[in-house]
Amino acid sequence: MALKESYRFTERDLAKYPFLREASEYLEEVGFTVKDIEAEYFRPIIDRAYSRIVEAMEKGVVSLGLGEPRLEIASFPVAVLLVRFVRDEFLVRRYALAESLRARELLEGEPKSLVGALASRLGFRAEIGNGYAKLYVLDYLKYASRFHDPRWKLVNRVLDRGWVTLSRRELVRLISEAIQDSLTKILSRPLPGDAKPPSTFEAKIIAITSMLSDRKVKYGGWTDVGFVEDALPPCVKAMYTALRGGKHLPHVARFTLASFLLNIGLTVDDVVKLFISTPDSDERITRYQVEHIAGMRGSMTKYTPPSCSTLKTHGLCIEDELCREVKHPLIRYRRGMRRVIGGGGEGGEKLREA
Amino acid sequence: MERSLERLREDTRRFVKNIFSKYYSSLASTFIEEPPRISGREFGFNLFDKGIVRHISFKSRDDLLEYLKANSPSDCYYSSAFYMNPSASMDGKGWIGAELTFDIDADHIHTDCKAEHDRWVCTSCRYEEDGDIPERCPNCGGDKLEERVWFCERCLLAARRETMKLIEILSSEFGVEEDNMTIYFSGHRGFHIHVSGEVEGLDQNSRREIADYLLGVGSDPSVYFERMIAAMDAGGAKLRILRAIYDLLSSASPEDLKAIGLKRSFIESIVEDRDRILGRMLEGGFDRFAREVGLTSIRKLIAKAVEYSSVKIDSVVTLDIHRLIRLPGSLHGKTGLMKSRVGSSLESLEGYDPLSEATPFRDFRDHVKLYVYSAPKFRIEDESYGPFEGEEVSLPLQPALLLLCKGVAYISG
Repeated sequence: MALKESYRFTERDLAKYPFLREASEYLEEVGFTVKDIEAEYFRPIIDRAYSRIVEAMEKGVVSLGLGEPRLEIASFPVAVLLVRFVRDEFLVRRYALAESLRARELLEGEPKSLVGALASRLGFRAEIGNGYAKLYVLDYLKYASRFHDPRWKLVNRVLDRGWVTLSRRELVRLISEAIQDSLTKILSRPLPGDAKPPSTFEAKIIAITSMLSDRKVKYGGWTDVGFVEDALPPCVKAMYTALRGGKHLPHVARFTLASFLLNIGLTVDDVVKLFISTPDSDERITRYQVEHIAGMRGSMTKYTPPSCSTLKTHGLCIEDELCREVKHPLIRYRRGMRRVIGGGGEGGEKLREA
Repeated sequence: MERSLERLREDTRRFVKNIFSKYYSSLASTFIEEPPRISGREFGFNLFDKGIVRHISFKSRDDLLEYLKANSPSDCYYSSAFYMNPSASMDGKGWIGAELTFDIDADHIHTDCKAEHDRWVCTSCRYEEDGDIPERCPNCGGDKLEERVWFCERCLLAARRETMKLIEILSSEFGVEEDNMTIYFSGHRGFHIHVSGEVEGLDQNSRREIADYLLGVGSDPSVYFERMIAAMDAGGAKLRILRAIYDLLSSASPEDLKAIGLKRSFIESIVEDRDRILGRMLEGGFDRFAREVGLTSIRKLIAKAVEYSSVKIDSVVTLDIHRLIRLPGSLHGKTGLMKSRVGSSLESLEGYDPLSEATPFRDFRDHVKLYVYSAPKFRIEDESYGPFEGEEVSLPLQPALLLLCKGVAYISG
């Protein structure tokens, strides 16, 4: 049922969606080549590429810049190359998100033929009507299952023979998610080991790197804040109380509690001590399991506790008013901490002092 | 006395193992259904003497049959996932994809008959009681309690009804084709549904969404209401919810309606004028019906209808993309019945009787002498057996095996 790809992209379309295959074909046709990257005429292109990245870091979205379509098209692959030289995971995510937001904003005003062409290019099986669209359920799930708003939950959609009805706006939201994914993939692709940045990139790379390190200081990790019983999310608190009362906890609850406590900074010893206070436990096995969760064994990955939706599925979720719109028990703990400490502050810095 | 009991148990175990071994050296080759892409699957077994072994892989069906012949496990499993290196440890397997699987078990469905046939036993003091298993033994305070679940025809029927709901939703709402769907009897108290095709690539989040959809978890009636009004056709999920509302209203007592939280005036009009209101719902469609009923009531009805028409799957099985599931054609260690293929359609399930079709030993006419502690009345094919209570009996192999595997009898002959 997917639309046939009969749509022809104009120069203006390509300036809006410079990640399309047609955009690089266009650049080839007009004689643009990366070989010239150190030439003088390339300077404005590199400047626009740099501003795409700075806008992404500072505002979280790239500006539309449709005044000079050719510059807009050419600056995109250059920006991609810059990001790949900087090689920073945060930047990759941030830039992919910002470009996808730009595309989303533009797509919301497009005719259905263009939306359809982009959708099918990204692998969506969709049928687009005037205010609504129908999307094949597996394509829907691929992206919508990441969102936590109840409106996106499949259980709140009226499914019919594999098709999900959704608004055009919602379809565009999913398309931008797919754009973000494919950009992330391109941006994380490593360059060949001997690749050297062109001389015209050097100053930009230094500037970007220093901006990145400033940002990281500001938004550093917020875990390891210590244990405050009153700040625990109700679900974890119930598990904790049950365990201390010598009750038997199901496996998922034990895993949740152990990984939660390890993530807020308790040591393996602390957690083992808590678990072996129950009558039927074996210290050796408990220690092994806790060390595994802490990332000291096996896959060497430190586990985080399951998300709220997983806990809900297992019937372990207990909600209170602080849980509203929270997707993860660790986030709920941060809120709880803020309340316990006395309401001040926005984010992590305050907590770290506490 | 204690010692001789131990010996009886040992004899019984040896007898059961011997029967399983006979099965795997002859009959199994006609019943075993190896999974597609067998060389990418992890296998796991419960062996009579050695307990659980896993991370095993086979190149072909012949290799698998060879292993079964040599080891005759009490239970056989394979991964719904296929891997690059199926016999590596969990971290090194290299997940490629996994069929989407559903498990419907009488354990997860409320049936009134369970109070009559499910028991638990305390392994420390041997105290036993009917019904749901408590956390601790009320007699000695021990926490090592064993379930003795029986499966009866009513439980099986309830599981089958639930499975039919699932198949209906998978095909009319998810659009799953019959060719991509296989229904199996689990060998105990329920059914497994394996779905193949594009769904094999689904990640865990997407599988959770599907499980939540079926269970009705996270449903928001006001959102759902808007969506029902917006849905063009009255097919799929909309039809299911409408039918459920219709069913609820046509059979509910005033007390039931009150429990749903409906307004008194609406309950009165339903009680007095049920046929007319339902008739209008059928003729005027959902939109008009919703307007007449009012927003508050319709939301409550939708919430109830979602719950009522939900399917009681075991969500853990559907979510786990590394899950081991029972091998079709292998014997279930707790019953001596086979996990066996039912088919792909609702009709095949409707006509399916596990007690006649999952019974590989039905043609063995030699009788086995055994002592039965306690067993309710049960049926294999057209023959009824029991109830037995502390008595010596002589039974054909299939029913005898069931009692022995269930742990309610021992070999006495």
